[in-house]
Amino acid sequence: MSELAASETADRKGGLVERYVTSVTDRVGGGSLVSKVLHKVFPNHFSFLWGEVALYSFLVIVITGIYLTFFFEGSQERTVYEGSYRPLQGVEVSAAFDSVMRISFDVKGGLLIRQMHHWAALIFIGALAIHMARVFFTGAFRRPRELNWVVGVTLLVLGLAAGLTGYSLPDDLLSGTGLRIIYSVILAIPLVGERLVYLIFGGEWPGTDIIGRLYPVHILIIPVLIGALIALHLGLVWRQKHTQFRGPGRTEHNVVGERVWPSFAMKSTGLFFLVAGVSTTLGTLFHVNSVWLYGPYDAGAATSFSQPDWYIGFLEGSLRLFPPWETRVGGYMINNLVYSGVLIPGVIFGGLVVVPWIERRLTGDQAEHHLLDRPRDAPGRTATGAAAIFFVTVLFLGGAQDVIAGTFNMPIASVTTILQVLAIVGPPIAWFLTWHVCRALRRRPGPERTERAGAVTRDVDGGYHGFAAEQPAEPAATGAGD
Amino acid sequence: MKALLAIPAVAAAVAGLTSFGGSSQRTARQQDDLGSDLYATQCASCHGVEGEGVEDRGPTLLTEGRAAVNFVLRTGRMPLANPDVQPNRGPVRYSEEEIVALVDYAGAFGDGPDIPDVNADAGDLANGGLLYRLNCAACHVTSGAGAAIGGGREAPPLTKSTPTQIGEAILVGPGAMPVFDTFSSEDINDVAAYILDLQAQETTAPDDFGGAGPVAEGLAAWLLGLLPLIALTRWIGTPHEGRDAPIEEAP
Amino acid sequence: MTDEPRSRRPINRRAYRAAVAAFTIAFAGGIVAAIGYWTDETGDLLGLGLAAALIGIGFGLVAWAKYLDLDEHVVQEREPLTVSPDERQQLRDEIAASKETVGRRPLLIGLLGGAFLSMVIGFVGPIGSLGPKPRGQRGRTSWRAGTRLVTSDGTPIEVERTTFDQLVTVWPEGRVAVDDSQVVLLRVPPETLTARTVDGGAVEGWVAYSKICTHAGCSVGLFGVDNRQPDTLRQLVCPCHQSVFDPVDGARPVGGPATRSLPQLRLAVDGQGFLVAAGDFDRVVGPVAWNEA
Repeated sequence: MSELAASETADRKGGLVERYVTSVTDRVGGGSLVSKVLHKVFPNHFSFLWGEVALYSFLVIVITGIYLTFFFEGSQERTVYEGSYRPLQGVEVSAAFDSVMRISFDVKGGLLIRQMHHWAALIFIGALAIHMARVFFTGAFRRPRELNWVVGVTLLVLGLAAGLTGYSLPDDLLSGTGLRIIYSVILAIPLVGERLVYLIFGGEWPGTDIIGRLYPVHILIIPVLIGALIALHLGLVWRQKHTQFRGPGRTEHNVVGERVWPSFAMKSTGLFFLVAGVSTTLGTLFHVNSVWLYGPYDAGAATSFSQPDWYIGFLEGSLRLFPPWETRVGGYMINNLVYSGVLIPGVIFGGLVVVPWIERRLTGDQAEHHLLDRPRDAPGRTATGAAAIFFVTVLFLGGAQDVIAGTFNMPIASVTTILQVLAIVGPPIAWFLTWHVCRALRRRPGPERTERAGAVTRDVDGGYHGFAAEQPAEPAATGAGD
Repeated sequence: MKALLAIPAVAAAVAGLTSFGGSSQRTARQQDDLGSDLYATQCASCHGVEGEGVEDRGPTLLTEGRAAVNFVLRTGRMPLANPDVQPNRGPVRYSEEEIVALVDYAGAFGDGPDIPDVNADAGDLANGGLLYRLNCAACHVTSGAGAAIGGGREAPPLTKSTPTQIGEAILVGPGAMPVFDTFSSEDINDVAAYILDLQAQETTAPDDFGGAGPVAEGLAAWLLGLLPLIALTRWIGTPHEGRDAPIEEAP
Repeated sequence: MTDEPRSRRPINRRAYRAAVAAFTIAFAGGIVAAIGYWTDETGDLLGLGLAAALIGIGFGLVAWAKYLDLDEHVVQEREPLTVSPDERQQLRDEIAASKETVGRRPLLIGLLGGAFLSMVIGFVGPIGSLGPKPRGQRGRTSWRAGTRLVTSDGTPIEVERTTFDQLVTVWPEGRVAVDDSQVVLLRVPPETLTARTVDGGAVEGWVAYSKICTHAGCSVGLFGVDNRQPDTLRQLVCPCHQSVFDPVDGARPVGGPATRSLPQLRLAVDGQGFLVAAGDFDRVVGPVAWNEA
């Protein structure tokens, strides 16, 4: 019997899984599926799971979102609300608002799905933020992963855009007010602002087009872009292999951890269910975004506690905290909104994108890195990150300045002034404090965690040498900080 | 000056104490006396003996009226211990009889609006909501939770307001609140009905994060969502035998 | 413990039981959710059942992977991620070869590039249909001389109303709820108004401003007014970013990020004693473009 026939006979005798898998790999190649995919090793550290939390919350968003698209109507056409929520019966609303009310009150289980969608979105951006922070503070963005860093920052921006377009879809008073602000910011852009905002919104505010345009952006354009970039992001991680912290047996040339199957896959799948479970629990027990209280976006109406969803809070804070400065020359001006609504966010995201190249310029380090730094190993980088986080946090607090004032019984103006001062004075102080803490931690004597191992080498027989337990701690040359 | 005030103060205090028994039948004359006695002992030191106001202590009552007095008494805003603090809702300090007497007495100083007759049951919820969002939500928030409004003032929460108090506030404009003179009595019924509906929905309950909006929701997402998830990743991501366990041969 | 082959290690009893319990609870959760969907009007049973199902499955899977046989600690070599000299040479050869073939037609390349650019420019046209050209539409609202100020249900405002420190949101008669014409009408004691405000068109203590905040366009609905001594207060606050305007001094900005005062609507009284506008606003309402300083 020929070899092929023999193995095919063996396959037929094999179990169901074996047969189906081989029937596919027999047709598309990839017979080394097992060794290439299933045996791929991923390092384990709990902070490496934060990117997965983001991925899985995005999955929850997509699944619940698909359900919502079966009910939502992305149109500003006027209709009269006739659903079961009494205080709005007979009120003229847009079709979009009407459909969200229908989902919330007249579709069984609809409100739960809507709440899961919203909670998952709130969690998604938070997970993106802590994942990005982890990548930054451990230096995982260094060569060869600069491209992946840029992809990641783009994913963050897309995530913010997805959230913003998403919560604006119900066309309620709160999100409508937010869109009005965005209209004003774009209008203020010199040279092209007026033309651009007329193109996007279809003319003067409010117009009849914007909700209808945000809908395909939110459900098609942005998700496709996010999906493609996630594929690229994960593909790069797969190809370049994940980074790892230093430790026994870990070198720049290997990965120590667990294999995809069964260990990593089961834990990862478990994490997905837990993320979905947390979203469901929050969606059941608490109410977010009660659009029926905000009512439809009516001209002339306004509410206090007029904030966007939390992740846009830094933009809100920028608008609230920036002093009333404008630059006028003749009949032209650089509007206050250009500084607070375009320049500051531009600096933040522009700064984020170029992080790997700034690091290279400041440290002169061009080497390939697969071992991670502990934050203390790179005091300069960590201090800069801390200062940046401090600044952005002050912006977030600025966005909530009236809530803070109300909670602590302080005048709003005082809270504003305190935050303005903190935004300027705080980051340098945070930089120095963090820098000194890092350096102090590095000088600490005593039992060292093996992460501070020196150069670990492997000899011809495969044995490892050079764990930290054997030699005093000396970080591998990264050129960072000190 | 203070000694002169002390004599009627002590006398009226005694009279005030004895009036606590709450006798049911009073003549109109006795009612008048109750009102003026109470005013003299409880109110005059800040609002003036004739209601003209006392500098740096209390405003004049000559522009107020029955609705205003009724409002501040029934919401416990008066008597106010510290004139430097914004009066807030609190425990009611007077009996029904005393309130009626004071309203009659002090309410006569000014020609402001009379106590409105508010019928929330006859109110149109939808119109009430429209009016609320156009006029009230900017200060009191769409959930009725109240908010800081600048100048060190706060718009109070509406969770405990009765229909009459709502009508009085709209017509009187207590504290930092403006007057909404153009509201008809139907409009007031509508808004009262809407606010009562907000109360019934418990829009400021803990599971709505106090009605405080996206800031509270975002904080909850971090504390109740991300923090537990981070803890879970610590559990999931830390190998059972520790990260520094010896490397084994793949099975 | 770690020396023995995995298949012979003793099982972690507690973890096993925990995983069993987790999956069982998850199973029950799904059923509770289904029952909840059919019977429970509040949706709580549905949600809690689903949550139990999801968390149970997740918990069970992790417990299984972490404590029961599946945890491991293995090593894999990294492949080099750089280009070898051979590969680099190959790329150079490929680029050189392309130059010799495709690159032999520079005119075609140039024309192709130009044609592509031209095609793109051609497509720009329909993009322009997304919105009209700005032609100063924002410079005009629906207010005209003689237009009555009305509330949202159409009632005009009598000049002779006696109450001070009141606030009304008003619209042009017949054009209620048109966004750019929203006006906040206040009545304050006439003696508190500055001369500039009176000249700007205040009538007997009535003063009207555009309700659209000049910072970012929200409706300025917050009128904090306390006319009771000792703490008088009169300010118009925008609830979005806390811009503060002084209503007795032409709504000029006195706090917060706004830099321009709210445009004032000049008022007059018509024959029947109702408030009317004396004309449109004299400048653009709300936030402005760069050339509308």
